[in-house]
Amino acid sequence: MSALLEITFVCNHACTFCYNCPTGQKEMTTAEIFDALKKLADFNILYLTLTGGEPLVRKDFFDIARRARELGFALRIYTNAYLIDEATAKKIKEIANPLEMEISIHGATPETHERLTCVPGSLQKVINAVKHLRAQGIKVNLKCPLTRENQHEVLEMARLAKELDAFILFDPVITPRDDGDKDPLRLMATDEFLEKFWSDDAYAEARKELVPVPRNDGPGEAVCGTGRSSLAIDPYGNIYPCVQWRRSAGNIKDLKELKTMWQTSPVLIEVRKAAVEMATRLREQKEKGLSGGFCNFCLGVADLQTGDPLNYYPQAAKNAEFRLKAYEAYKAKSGKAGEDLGGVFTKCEM
Amino acid sequence: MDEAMDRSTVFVKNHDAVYRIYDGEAVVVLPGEAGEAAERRHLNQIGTLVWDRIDGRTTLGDLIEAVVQEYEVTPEEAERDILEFIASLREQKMVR
Repeated sequence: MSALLEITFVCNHACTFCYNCPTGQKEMTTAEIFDALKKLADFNILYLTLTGGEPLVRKDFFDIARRARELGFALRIYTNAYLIDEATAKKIKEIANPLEMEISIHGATPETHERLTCVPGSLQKVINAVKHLRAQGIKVNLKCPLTRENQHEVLEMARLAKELDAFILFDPVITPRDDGDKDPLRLMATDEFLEKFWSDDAYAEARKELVPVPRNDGPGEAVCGTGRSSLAIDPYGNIYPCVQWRRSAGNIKDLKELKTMWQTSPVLIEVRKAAVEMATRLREQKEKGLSGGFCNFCLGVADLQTGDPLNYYPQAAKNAEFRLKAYEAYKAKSGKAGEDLGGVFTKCEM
Repeated sequence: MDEAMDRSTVFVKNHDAVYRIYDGEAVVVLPGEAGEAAERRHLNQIGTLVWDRIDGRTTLGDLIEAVVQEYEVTPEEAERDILEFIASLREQKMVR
């Protein structure tokens, strides 16, 4: 079981595609967050991601991290790294001892990265932070939302990550804002680039698979872990099935424990049903040789983009079509399918 | 038995290891190397009983007693199984 806890919506960056939509409500206090952590631990959550906004802007960040560590979570911290200097990296190791740090990167050059973050000097801060964290022996995963602004620097970013001894993951999907505003979608990577990304051998390392592999959901399985193996909590305490799907199942401040809500919430029951229904539809597509078999479908994004969590939204469709095309081309060329190379489709669990 | 080990020996979990117990079975997570996923290990019920008690204070003798109380095994069988299990945990850098 995993949980993602947004401890603040305050951020020291102004990323042009950010999905957060602060409402002006009062964010949870230190005591309320401690209480939430206790409830998550009692609910047997193993993996916990502390994120934001930018989690390190909270003055009580290290108190929260210390408490999380005491409660025995496998901790991840998702940050823009702007505040991580050598001393902070040391403090992160000593106090939080995270399983890994997840750091956003938006380009391999200051011009590109900073065009998206709107903060001068922010790329150098990322590079310095990764070096400081690695010097402390902390694993670093760089995360890059692919956009038409940074698509030309993917290979350079992959090289930079290697130089820094960090892992890098590219996400080809830009999401609407949490309030449904679709403006960020104008930054989506171009079709020409996505086709190349999924098929060109030069991008194999960047996409983490030599050749795309199809989904392998069995009957009754869900399309992802939403409302099943994961949950998300915003800075106001609202509980969601997933960070991408903000349908509140309750507020952690109002609950004595999480188990009852988890078992009885009508929102979660509906979400789980939708997740199985979507997996069934994609399996049927796969059986017919259609692109759905290659789709990393997000019910939350579908709901935000189309108003229906079961609608095949354009980004999912495009990526799946390019993945299928690359799969078939490889098979025609080599006589082998992606899964013959030991590849396994990775479902989204957060 | 390891020459340096007797029933008063204690074991210490790897400081980086975190775990939860689901239906009596522990899921233990250790950070992997850079570029690798975190390592996740599943322990069976008897392994979990032992793992959960490893705290730098509980002795090998205490572990044997706990296993004997819970399962139909002799102290000798329990000791042999625990030592094998501890050796595998050490190999996987889960205890020292």
